[in-house]
Order: sequence, then structure tokens, then C-alpha cells
Amino acid sequence: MLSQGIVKKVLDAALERGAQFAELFVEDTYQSELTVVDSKPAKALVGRLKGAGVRVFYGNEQVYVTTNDLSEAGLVKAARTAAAAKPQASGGVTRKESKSFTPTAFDELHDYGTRPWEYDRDKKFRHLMTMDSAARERSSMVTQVAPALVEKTQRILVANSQGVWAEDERNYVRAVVTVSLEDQGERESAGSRIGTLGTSDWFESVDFEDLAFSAVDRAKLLIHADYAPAGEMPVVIDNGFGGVIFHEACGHGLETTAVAKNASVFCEKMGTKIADDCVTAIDDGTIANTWGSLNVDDEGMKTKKTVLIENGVLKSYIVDGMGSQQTGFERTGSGRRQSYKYAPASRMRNTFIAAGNDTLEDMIKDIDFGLYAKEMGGGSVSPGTGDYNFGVTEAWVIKDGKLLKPVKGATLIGRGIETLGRIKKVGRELRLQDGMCGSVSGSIPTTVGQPAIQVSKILVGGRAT
Amino acid sequence: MIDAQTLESNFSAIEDLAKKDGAELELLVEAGESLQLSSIHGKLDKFDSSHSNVAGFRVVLNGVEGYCWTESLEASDLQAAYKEALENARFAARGRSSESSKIDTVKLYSSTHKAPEDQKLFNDSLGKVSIDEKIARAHRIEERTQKADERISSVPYNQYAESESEFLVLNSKGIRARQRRTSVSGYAYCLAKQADESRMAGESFFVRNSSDLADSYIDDVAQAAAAKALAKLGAVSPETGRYPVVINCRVAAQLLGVIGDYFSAKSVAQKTSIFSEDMDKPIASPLVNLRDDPNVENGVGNRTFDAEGAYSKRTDVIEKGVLKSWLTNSVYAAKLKLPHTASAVRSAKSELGIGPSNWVLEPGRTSVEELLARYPRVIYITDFTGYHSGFRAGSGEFGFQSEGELWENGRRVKALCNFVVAGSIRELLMGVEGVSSRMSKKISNTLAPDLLIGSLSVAGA
Repeated sequence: MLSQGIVKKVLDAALERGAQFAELFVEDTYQSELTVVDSKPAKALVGRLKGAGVRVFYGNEQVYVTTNDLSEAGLVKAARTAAAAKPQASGGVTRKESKSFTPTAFDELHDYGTRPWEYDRDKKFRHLMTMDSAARERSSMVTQVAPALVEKTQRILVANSQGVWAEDERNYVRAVVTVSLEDQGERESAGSRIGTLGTSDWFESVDFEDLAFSAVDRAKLLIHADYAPAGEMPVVIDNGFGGVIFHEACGHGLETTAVAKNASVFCEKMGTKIADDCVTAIDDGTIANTWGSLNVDDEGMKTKKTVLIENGVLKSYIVDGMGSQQTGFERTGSGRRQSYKYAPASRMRNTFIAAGNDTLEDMIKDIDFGLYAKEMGGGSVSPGTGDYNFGVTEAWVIKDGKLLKPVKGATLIGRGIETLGRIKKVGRELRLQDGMCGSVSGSIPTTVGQPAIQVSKILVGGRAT
Repeated sequence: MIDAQTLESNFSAIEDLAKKDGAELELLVEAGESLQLSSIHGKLDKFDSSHSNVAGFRVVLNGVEGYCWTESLEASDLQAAYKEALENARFAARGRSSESSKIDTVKLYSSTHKAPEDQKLFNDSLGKVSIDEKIARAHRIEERTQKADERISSVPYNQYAESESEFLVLNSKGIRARQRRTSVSGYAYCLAKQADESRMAGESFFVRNSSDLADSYIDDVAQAAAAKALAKLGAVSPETGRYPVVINCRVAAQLLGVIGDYFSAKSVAQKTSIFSEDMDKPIASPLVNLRDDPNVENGVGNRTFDAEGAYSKRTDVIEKGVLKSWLTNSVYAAKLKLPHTASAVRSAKSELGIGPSNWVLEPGRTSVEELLARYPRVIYITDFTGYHSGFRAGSGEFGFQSEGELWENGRRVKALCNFVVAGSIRELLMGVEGVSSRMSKKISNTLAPDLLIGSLSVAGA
């Protein structure tokens, strides 16, 4: 993307006021979003993101400057702007020079094929229309279908003053469908999605009809359903996107972005028991062609598999470069960002609870009255307190060890560290699901996952009578 | 920031290409510079400076739109983006019958209206404050919040931010519209700790002129953030049941942002608004009056023109509880034969949509204290969390993680946490029994008073 000579000049300019570390991140990204609404193409939006970010460290203080100007002069100007922002307390000027570059060695972990601009647009249109017509044929209650295909190819270069030089390409493709239903004055909507770290030829393997069916079936199930009960009760959370509970309730609190600020309930917990023996949790960037995977992170470090919690004991935080410097923990290849517009931060990749020994049936059989969360929606957390919330998109009441009826409007809330301690059973069937995670360094692809889990008590925000 | 002359010349060359292609053309350009600073333990935690340009084409070919954006304003890159947008318009024309084409034909906006008075959203104050002073302000936000009380353990989320931005719309029907803006904003979110308990709360600010940001202003923000966090200490979960609820004005303003899309003509056309069949019908209590107002004094969302270059104006959407108007852009005004409210929104990277300048839910004449004393037992909601996960737009139902206070006979009894307030937007709007005279702070483009709702579901311990 840029010659080593130009990059060296940029890094040296960034170091000229005495910074201890300088980094250049350059990005060239193609992205496309095609949608159908009212059974007709509605949006055809293509864009090209191209720019760079220069980051310097003065001790534990970080300066980040971005620019669209990728000329040598433009980049050097950005580097000098970063250098000039030197904090007053950071001492005198001891000018350093960047080291010569050594490319980060890695095996390409992922198979890529047809890039989005090479894939036949007629085929994309047919995929969209397949979702549209499948949804409409599935139920006469369907009033609207909004399918979308999202594709992204991101080429990056990360180089730093310690001699790191890493270039990589990441391809993301995703199919999404949202349906709206109406019947006897009641309205309901639901969505389904599937995505991968891969190229557009992956669409050939997607069952678009099934994707549309699952959205319609869920909306049909809920449209006349009663409201979820309200109050504290045992909850069984099914596999796949159920893993969002670990992502929000615990994962964000394990990022050094929160730990270094002493804004996490997991500070000072390293090596201690924070969950039942049945809980082992992993953050793994190396799984081939999986939504949250990488080859190298956005700081140029080869990605890896990190065991966060092993048999209930906290084993690792999620650590980026600045987080490592601030906390003393080793980097985990987890420095990530949405684009050059953001400085990298410690972020999750593919994060999941490992498979255990229990069955879903046994977990439900145990419960006199509770909730089965079959499909989870999104959620959020305040890492400082660990307070989290999730929407449940498909829930069932459990009564006397059996599923009684589907219910709508369930929200789960609680405090992450408490909920983690209340996971009493972990199922055998691990499933992963793609998602988008928003935090300090923007919105990035992350995978969540788990087998089914049984939590002894969560507050369910349904409807009080 | 934008070299308007060069841009006009490049646009003119592409207009010639578009004429040959039989296409119409709209170009939206955004340029900006921004600075974000934050402080942790007296050290600079973040110093992010960015400079960006984005140009987004909207091409209309035979009544069908295609889009493309690029971050380069070079002539060759703009031409390439135009060609891609043209291809996208061709793509979007697929599968359209001649019948549907007649209904859905899109035309670019054109106008001979005179420009209203400039809103003075831009000033040169940012350049008059030194970088050292800006960094000092970031440190001051953290330090003064931290020192507000010994129980404030940290201020993990704080920011001082400023930006200058420029927004241009040019189209092949002769529209030329330009708006510049300046803003200075920030926040402090702090943790209050007592024994094993920790609670977080924050306060934000927004001004247009950097010189307005006096030390006392930062002090007020710091004190307010700390006071809110401290007020949460000792909170307990309420008993599950139905309660009269007063929604704090800041929370009501946030809710308004969540439901605002229901009043867009695009949502009506796409059958995603829960109010699509309710024009001229009561959808709220008679105490509810909602307007889109581009001229609020010091309003965050003030604008002179919308994203198509149409001059902005006030639209009364709900009057005494009755739905009176949808917000429209020129496309949906034509499609649904509705008045054009000049409510187009679009960033250079997005498609044309519809959105407000400032949503204003009008205040009443009652004090918030009177609202809290209206019933013997009232839950006062100070925070809703999880707007995206707790709101189901398709049905209009919600269940939000909440924090608040229990009030009995007009007196605060205790802080509350760990509960979910649930209901439907219809139930909430129809259930408004009181509207305070106090309005939320101008920190976003939604403004609201405190609302008393007669009864909502509360799920607690």
C-alpha cells in the first residue's frame, strides 16, 4: 500500500518530539450494501474508505491523528500533528528513530474467493429476491420484507517504530432479513442473519429461504403470544447468540480498556475463582473463516487463542498494546478498530463459553418455573458496575420442567459477575453466531457463542399484572 | 475546509457526463475537523484528532436511485464514484415493472425559494483557544468530578470534544446549499463507591462557542455528574407491580429519539410505523404536543436546509395528542402526496432518509415536584439503559433496564436499581397525565419535559 521508505519517514516524523512509540495504520476498504424493500431493490450503496491514522505514545499517554491524505506530505503532516500534541508532563525531547521493518510472519488462516466487485450483481439480486419471496410465501401475515446483503473488503497496513510491518486483507459477507407481520391488529417483527469472514462466493452456500423462514416463523410465534412473566427466576439460555450474555456481562469487563481505568468489576480478580467449575471461556481469533477472526490484529500482532476463564478461574484479560503497557499483562493480539478513524483498543474476537457435559433437556427438566431464552437479541453493559441488559427475541415459559408457551417482551438484567457465578450447568452443543460489537474503537465484527447454559437466577423484565 | 470552487468545477464536469448518460445527479460533501480528549488519573487517555472529507453521489436514472461515496475529492475519484453510483442505479432498476416504476419514480429536488436568515451555527472560536487549554479542560473535567466527593472512586468515561464541519449539497437542478457548524461538547461519567456497592452516572454539555465554556460551566457538569452517582448509592430493587411513573426529562428526550422514526413518511410507506393508519387520530394524551423545529434557541439540531437543500421549517407532528403530520423529504412527499416538510437526512455515506432537525416535546406548566406528588407512591425514572435491545420497533413494545427513585407523598424515600420498566409506546403516550415546565438540557436534538405516566409495569425483585 505504501513503500517502506515513506512509512519510515512518517514514523520518524511522529517520533521527533520524543515519543517512545509511533505507529501508522493505513486502510483501503470497499464496502457494499444492497437491499430490497417492497419486493424491489431499494438501496444500492457502495463506498470506498481510504485513510490513515498515526498513533504515538508518550509514556502511558496516547495521541491519535487521522487523515484522508495518503500522500507522503499528508502523512508526514499528520505525524507532526501527533508529535506536536506532546503532553507537557512527558519530559524532554529525546529523539528516536524507528527500527527497520520485519514483516509479521503468519499463515493465511482463511480461504477467500470472489471479491464483492467481482461477484455477479444479478446473482446478488436473485439472493435478495429469494429471501423476499420465501418470506411472503411463508405467511399471509407478512406485510414487509427487508433483505440485505452486506460485503466488505478491508486491506490494511500496520507499521510501527519497533519494526513491525504487517499487511492483511479481511473480507466480510453477511445476509440479513427483517420481516414485519400484522394480524388482527397485532404487529410483530423479527430478523435473521448469517455472516462469515469470507468472500461473496460464500453466498452460494447460504440457504436464503431458510433464513427468511426462520424470521417469519419467529414473528408468527410471538404475534399473539402473552407477555413474559416479571421477576427473578431461573433461566436457560440456548446456544449460539445466547453467548451475547457472556460477551456483555463479562467480556467487556475483561478488556484492558476497562481494567486499566479501574473501571471493571474484574480488576484485581486475576487468578481467582469467579465462576463455577463448569465455566471455561475462550476468546479465539484463529478460527478459520469465522466472523470475528483475524490473521493479525490492528496493531500488527499475530492473532491467537486466549483462555479467559478456565474451570471458573480468571486466567487472562483481553489485552492490546496500550493496555499491556498500563497493566503489565501480555498482549493477546486483541488490538482492534472499526477503521483508521479509530485508535485500536482491546476488543473481543470470537468469544464463547466452551462445551460442558449437560443436556438442554436436563436443564429444563430441573426448573419448576422459569424462562427458556431460545434466541437472544442485543444487549449492553456498563463495565464499571457490570450491570447488563439483553432483549430476548424468542422466549418460552418453563413450568414443571416443561416448555409451557412462547412469550414476548422479555428483557434480562443483572450484574455480570453475579450472573457468572450463577451458571450452574453448561450444555454439550457449542454454537457460534456473528454479531457487531460497538465500543471505544468503533463497531467491529465479533462472534459470540456458547452451548446452552442454566443460570439459577436472573431478573426477567416481562409484564407485571 | 472545502475548496468550493474546485468542487463546483469537478461537479460541473460530472454533470456533463450525467447528461450524456441521461442521469440526474446530487452530490453531498461533508468535511470536518474534530478533536476528542479524555483524561484518566490526570494523564491524557485519549487525544484523537481527525480531518476528513467524504463525497456521496446520489444518481437518479430513469427515476431510480443509485449511490456511491468516496473519501477522496480528487476529480478522478469523484468521476469513478459517479460511475459506480450510475451502475448502482441500473442495479436498482432491476425487477421493476412499468406499473411500479410510475409510482416509485424519483425526481431530484428543485426550488426557487429564497434562503432564510443564516442560523450562525459556525464561529471561529476553536482556533482562539490553545491546545494546552483544551487539554487542561479535559483534565479539569476529570479532576473536578473526582474531587466533588470522596466517594467518587474514578471518572472512567470523560471527554472534551470539539468539531468544525461543513456540509454542501449540489444537484443538477441548480441546488447549491452550504452550511458550516462549530460545536464544543463533553461529558463526565463517574463511579461512586460505598463498601461493595458501585454506581455510575454522568452529565454532558454542548455549546457552539468555545469561549462560552467557562470554568464554572465545567464545575457545574462535574458537580451534577457526581451528585447523580451519589444519589444512586444504597439503591434497592423495587417490588414487582404496576406503578405511576415520572420519566425524567433527559430520559424522555432519549425516548423521543428512539421512537422518532415512527413519524417518518418513509416508515409509513414501508409499513414499519405503528402509527401508519392513525393520521388525524388521537395517539397520545391531549397534553402531548410534538414538533420538529429547526430554529430552537441554541438547538443542537438546528439547520438552515435539509439534505436535499430544501429550506427547513417547523412541522407540528402531534397537536393535543392528535397526529397531524408526517415528516417528508421531496421523494416521499411526492410518492404519498403529502406536504413537503423539508426533512431529508443523508450523510455522504448513506441513502436518502427522513429525520427531524430538533424533536421538541412541548413543556407544560407543572413543576416536576408537583408531578412526583400527584400520587401517594411514584417511581421516578432517572435512567433507562439498553434502548436498542429493549425496544421492539415492529410492535412498539419496550422493556428497559432502569434506575430511579421511590417517592411517597411527594418525598424521596430511596434510590432504586435493578428493575425493568415495560409497556408499549401507545400505552405510554396515551398514559401521559402530566408534563413538567422544565425541559431537558440541550445536549442532543431531542428535547422533552418530565412526563407523568399513570401506570406502567415495573419488574423488580
